[in-house]
Amino acid sequence: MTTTRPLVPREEYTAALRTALVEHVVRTAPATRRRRVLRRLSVGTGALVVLGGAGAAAAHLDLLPGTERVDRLAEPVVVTATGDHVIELGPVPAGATHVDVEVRCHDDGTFWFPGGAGGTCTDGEVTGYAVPADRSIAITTSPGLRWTGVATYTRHEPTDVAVNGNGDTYGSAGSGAAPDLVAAEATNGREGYVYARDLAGYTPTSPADAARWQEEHGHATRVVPVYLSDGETVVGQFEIGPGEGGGVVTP
Amino acid sequence: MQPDHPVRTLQGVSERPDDDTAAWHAARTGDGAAFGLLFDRHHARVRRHAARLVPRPGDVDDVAASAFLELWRRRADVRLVRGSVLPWLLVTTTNLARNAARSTRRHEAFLARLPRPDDTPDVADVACVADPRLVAGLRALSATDRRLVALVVLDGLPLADAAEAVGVSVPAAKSRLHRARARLRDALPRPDHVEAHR
Repeated sequence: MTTTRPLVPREEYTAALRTALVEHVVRTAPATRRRRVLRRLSVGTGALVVLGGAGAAAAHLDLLPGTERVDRLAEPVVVTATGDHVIELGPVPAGATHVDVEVRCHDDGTFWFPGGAGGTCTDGEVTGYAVPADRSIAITTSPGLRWTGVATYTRHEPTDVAVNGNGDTYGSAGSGAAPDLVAAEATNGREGYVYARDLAGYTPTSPADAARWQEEHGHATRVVPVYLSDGETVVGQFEIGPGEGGGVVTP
Repeated sequence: MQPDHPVRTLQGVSERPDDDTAAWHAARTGDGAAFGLLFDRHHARVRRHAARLVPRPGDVDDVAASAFLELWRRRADVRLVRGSVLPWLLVTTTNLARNAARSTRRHEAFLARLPRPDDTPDVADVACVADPRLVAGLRALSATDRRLVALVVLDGLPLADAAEAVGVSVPAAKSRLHRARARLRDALPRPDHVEAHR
């Protein structure tokens, strides 16, 4: 190596090498064991209505109409921390709409992204999420939780929903679209769509909104069918209301 | 040299306190903390190994760093020997050291971002400086023999571990070492210069 490199004490060199190796491993690790981040939108006796985070859309549902296209606009910033920490990203690049953040927990614990999304994590688990573009991303955690975060400026652009043979639109509702058939995962794990009208025309817009809706409507369980994109072929069911998990509305 | 004494349990699991198995399984999936732990355990040893084999002192740290980068890059191929990733790292270091300039080029961008250690060899390092005669002698050996000599003679690894690390049987390793020692007779360090480890 002929590159001019600053001379530092050996201890400092070893620490720098260690840090660089750890960041290299984290940054170049394949996206395994990732999961969709869950935003809790309602509370109650085990009731849980969930919407996937926007960041999950790109990783999980590339072909789903209505999902967001995500372009990376900067090199990732990698930090390793214990407990609460603010990830500093520097100036926001032109065109950036979001910061995509991945948090890998090194202990079992709980953490939150800015805005309140988050949840529990286990050692080694990676959770991705997208927050509005900001040069500082505050991650809060349960006390003493060790974690590594990778944050990247990105541009998210919605794609169009599709239209089936009956003239109904279908796709993700996660980008602000309002398709007739909303992508959802059934209680049997199959992916499909539920009619928006079957969801009582209601899409929670915030945890407070969802909590209010839950208070007013959430005391009974309703079951709605999950279809293929044709809106006719049933592949499973989606439960709405209190009780254990009732499927997942896909972003 | 003190050999390792793994504790056999009812499950037949080695319980050496520095067993890398769990850390390696976590590290290979991208757990940075686990990779850092492996670095902490083995970097000093890998660096000393490189120092014995790399003719230019200025290349030693880059070769040692490259060994860890190779550990990550070739993680699908890494084999633990008795629960340790060290033999794989030492074999890789031996391979990298043969042509340090060429073998570290792959990682040039990574290495260029690092500082350089500003130190002079201390007393402990004096025994870990490459002997030009030895380096030249090792170059004349086959790759397998070179790795065996490096692991067993220079680094003091148990013969069985070295044999497993380079992929030959113990009797074959013994035979190869015997022949290699004869060829390197004048260049090899005397037994009391071989460093104890662990």
